[in-house]
Amino acid sequence: MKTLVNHKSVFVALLGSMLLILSCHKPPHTVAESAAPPPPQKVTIIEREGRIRNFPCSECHKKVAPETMSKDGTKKHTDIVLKHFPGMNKCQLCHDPYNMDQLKRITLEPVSFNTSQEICGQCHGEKKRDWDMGAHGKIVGGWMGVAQKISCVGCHNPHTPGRPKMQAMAAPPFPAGGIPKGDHP
Amino acid sequence: MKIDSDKNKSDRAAHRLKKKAEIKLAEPASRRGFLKKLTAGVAAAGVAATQSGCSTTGMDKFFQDHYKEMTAEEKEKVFARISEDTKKKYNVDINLKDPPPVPGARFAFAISLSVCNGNRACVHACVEENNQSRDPAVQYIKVIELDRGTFNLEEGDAYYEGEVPKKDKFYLPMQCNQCDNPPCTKVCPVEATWKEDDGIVVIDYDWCIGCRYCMAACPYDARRFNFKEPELQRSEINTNQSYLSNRVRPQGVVEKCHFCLHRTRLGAMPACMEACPTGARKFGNIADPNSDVAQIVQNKRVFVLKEELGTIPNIYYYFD
Repeated sequence: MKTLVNHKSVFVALLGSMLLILSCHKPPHTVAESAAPPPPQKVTIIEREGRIRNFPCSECHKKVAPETMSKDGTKKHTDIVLKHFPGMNKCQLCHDPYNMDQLKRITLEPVSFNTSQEICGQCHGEKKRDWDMGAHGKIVGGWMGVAQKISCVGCHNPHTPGRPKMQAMAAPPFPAGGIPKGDHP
Repeated sequence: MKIDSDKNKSDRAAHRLKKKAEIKLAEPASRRGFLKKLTAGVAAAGVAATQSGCSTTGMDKFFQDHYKEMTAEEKEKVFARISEDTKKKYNVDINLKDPPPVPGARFAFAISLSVCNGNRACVHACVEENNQSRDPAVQYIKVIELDRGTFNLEEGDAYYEGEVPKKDKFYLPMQCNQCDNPPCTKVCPVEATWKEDDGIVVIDYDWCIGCRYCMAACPYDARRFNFKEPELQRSEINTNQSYLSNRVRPQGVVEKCHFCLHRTRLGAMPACMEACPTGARKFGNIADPNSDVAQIVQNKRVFVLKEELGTIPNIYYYFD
């Protein structure tokens, strides 16, 4: 009895085609393990002191005795709007009345303006943790080599920390014949 | 003597073919004549090519090799040709580079959806950086506006306008995820798109045949097709270009986000990240455990889009 197809030949042909496929199919690119890693990112925090207008605050404040300073400081600094949390009107919560060139913690330890994130971190500990790891805030520079981190006050005015709304830039052109959101029956 | 006669013969043959082609082309169009005309035209073109020694740029482009098979000299020639073409068309001198992948680097994005306010600065920075067509508008990044508490991308709105962020909305920027298991590269019939060592999926625009299989395969709608010749003003051209990334694309090829490889492979940040006014975007080398993206992936509750498909995307989203 003669079968139409020889099983052995089918097997050989299958094996052959599989080998052919395997030989044609190139392995995907792999990362060179032996290569030296690129230089890590060196992140520095942008300094604040050089950026404050009229910085050494003591230039003026040496003429004002700490005891005579108003509790509600916005009387003299008319450009400052205090809108941090309801009822917040006490400058001396963060500013040191005896040395206006630095800030102070609630526990009265002095903090430089350059490390003002320490002050913010007293209440906003979670955000401070995220900022430390890089999950919050903006980094400028490059991913390799030197980069600079913007501290809290680089984006949020400490007296009015809420970010204003923005105008969205132009939307992509609406597809011809498309149905706008909400108009669909 | 024999060689001479052979040459004369071939010259005569070429002349005959040319004449025939001219006569055929001069004839009024008819259904029967179409195929004949076509063959005659092809023959005439072939003759013209052999006589001129294939020196036209069109011929060079036609016979150009795949990017991965070109030698350094061939690449130089191709880059010179592209620069020349751009100079001819837009009258700008471009700086066309081809930076290789940084050894040991794997690029990734982390995007904070709590911080993103949907202002689309990234979209427009990307368009300007990457010489994308302005009309018809080709944009790599799509920002989707979603209701808080929902996560159905189909119900999102990509065409919102006005003041952002709107009440009870959040914004999700989408672009190419540079998947580690990319479906798009597998379907390409000509291998014009592939994954590089630093994780970036690139396209050889001169090798792409424009079949758009990759667009159908991509689950993230990341790829764009140049239906028309890209329309750009001379002043809009970014002269810092690279072969695999932002050189002005020809018509009929697919393009997509490439993590600004002409910038990132030199250590800089991508254009969208630099433009982001909110700091929602984080970019870095995820292979470095101290980089911010690696730290975010380790410590935050991150997610990727369409994880169930097994594409292993390289853009991580998180809320904080």
